Amino acid sequence: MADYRKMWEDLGMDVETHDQLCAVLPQAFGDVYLSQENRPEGMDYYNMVVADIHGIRPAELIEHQKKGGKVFGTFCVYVPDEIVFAADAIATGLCGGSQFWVPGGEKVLPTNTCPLIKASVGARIDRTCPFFRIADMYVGETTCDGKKKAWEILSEDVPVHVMNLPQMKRAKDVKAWAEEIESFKDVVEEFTGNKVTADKLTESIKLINGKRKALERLYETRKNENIPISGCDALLISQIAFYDDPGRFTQMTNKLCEELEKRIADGVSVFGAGTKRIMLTGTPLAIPNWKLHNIVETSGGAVVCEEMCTGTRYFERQVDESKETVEEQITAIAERYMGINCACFTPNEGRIDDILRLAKEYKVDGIIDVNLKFCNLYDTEGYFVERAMKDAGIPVLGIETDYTDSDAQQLRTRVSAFIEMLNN
Amino acid sequence: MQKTQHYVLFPNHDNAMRLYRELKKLGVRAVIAPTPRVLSTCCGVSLLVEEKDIGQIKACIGEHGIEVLKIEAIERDINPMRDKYC
Repeated sequence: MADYRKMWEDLGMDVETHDQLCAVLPQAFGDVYLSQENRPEGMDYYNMVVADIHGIRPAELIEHQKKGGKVFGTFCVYVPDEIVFAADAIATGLCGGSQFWVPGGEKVLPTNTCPLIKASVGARIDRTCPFFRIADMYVGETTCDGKKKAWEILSEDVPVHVMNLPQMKRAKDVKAWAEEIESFKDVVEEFTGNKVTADKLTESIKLINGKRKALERLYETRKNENIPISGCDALLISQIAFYDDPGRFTQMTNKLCEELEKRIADGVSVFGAGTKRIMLTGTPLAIPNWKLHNIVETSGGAVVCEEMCTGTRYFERQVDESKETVEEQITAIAERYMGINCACFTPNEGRIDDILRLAKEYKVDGIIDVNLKFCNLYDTEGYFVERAMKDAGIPVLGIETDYTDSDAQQLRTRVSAFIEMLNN
Repeated sequence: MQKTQHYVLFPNHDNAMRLYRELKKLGVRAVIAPTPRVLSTCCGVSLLVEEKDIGQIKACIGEHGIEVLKIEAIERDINPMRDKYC
């Protein structure tokens, strides 16, 4: 129950309004997480992170700044954290996943903007999130039109650097992305006053690869017939990965994985035999967006995989650690990140291949293709996703939702019917 | 489901983690949880414990000089079907 009010006030936050968010978090967390039976003990670490999500980590970031360090806020899995950490700076996620921040975003953005963008902008404008106050510079990207305009609005209030992500995957696009990373390196070096050397990059590539490997190990446990961890818990871990200290996160996630692997050896599952295995595909679920996972897992399903930015897109494939010069390392980083299959690319058949592969690896019974309202890219690509799944004989349910609770009952009806259909 | 839950409240998360680690060594069940709103107006870490262990927990707190604010019982309704998210 540490009192962080002084810290929040010093950050210029609207503490009174922020209290309203603090008020609803314990109940929502209790309903989704503390209601679960037989949760792994290792989840206590992530409980702690959430319990003081606007306290512990923000305080660490402020300590880093007091020592002269810089903090970069990012919004997308394409922004290479390796560059930031190589300059002795810290990268932290800034994606907003709560309806609490949406009205703030709507003050300056059209209502028909996706809730993730509205929440992110609202968190800054309304001064109700410490991470948005702490970050010295925001790093945007060109992954959708809504974001591009949001960066322009935010840049009136805070330094913003925008990375121009190519929208095709030809060799020249990968080269262009490498050049963009090179420019980002220059910006980071100038902003921090620290040189990004080959040795520093070697270190940071290993650091971020370590986090990816820990998440991969976690997901590997979910492929088992006995599922040792709920989808809600796995989602929480993915969400926290964007904020936490990467070294500590890796250590704690590997420790949890030891427990999960023991559960597998002992035949322990958190779901009853025959529970239908569901994969979610589509738009990201930023913290604290737990709605759909909770609905699936209280409607007779088990979420075993997320083909999402808060899921496999974040950790699959490593950056090649064998490169020795900064130029080679940046090329390796560009190649790894351009392997992520986001709907902002055209064509994007790689994503369909990913979903089909993951469906086999995780032995899924059905797929729910989730689209955050007003995300035109994922909504449109849903046509190809659903067609490919139907062709492959994998049942698929397309869902569009936002951060409000108002569609929860309707979603329950649709998800329950879908799972019922899988059972018959 | 409405049920009585027991929470140990702390001045900061360091003390919460200290007690958590000591209780784990003793094999006493404790779950790290956000502090319920009725117990605090501030976000924060608390330990959810079982009533039968409270005597042992108090002894552990005394033995290791861990700072706690209080141990409180509340009636809490935990309902995964409530669909009130944040």
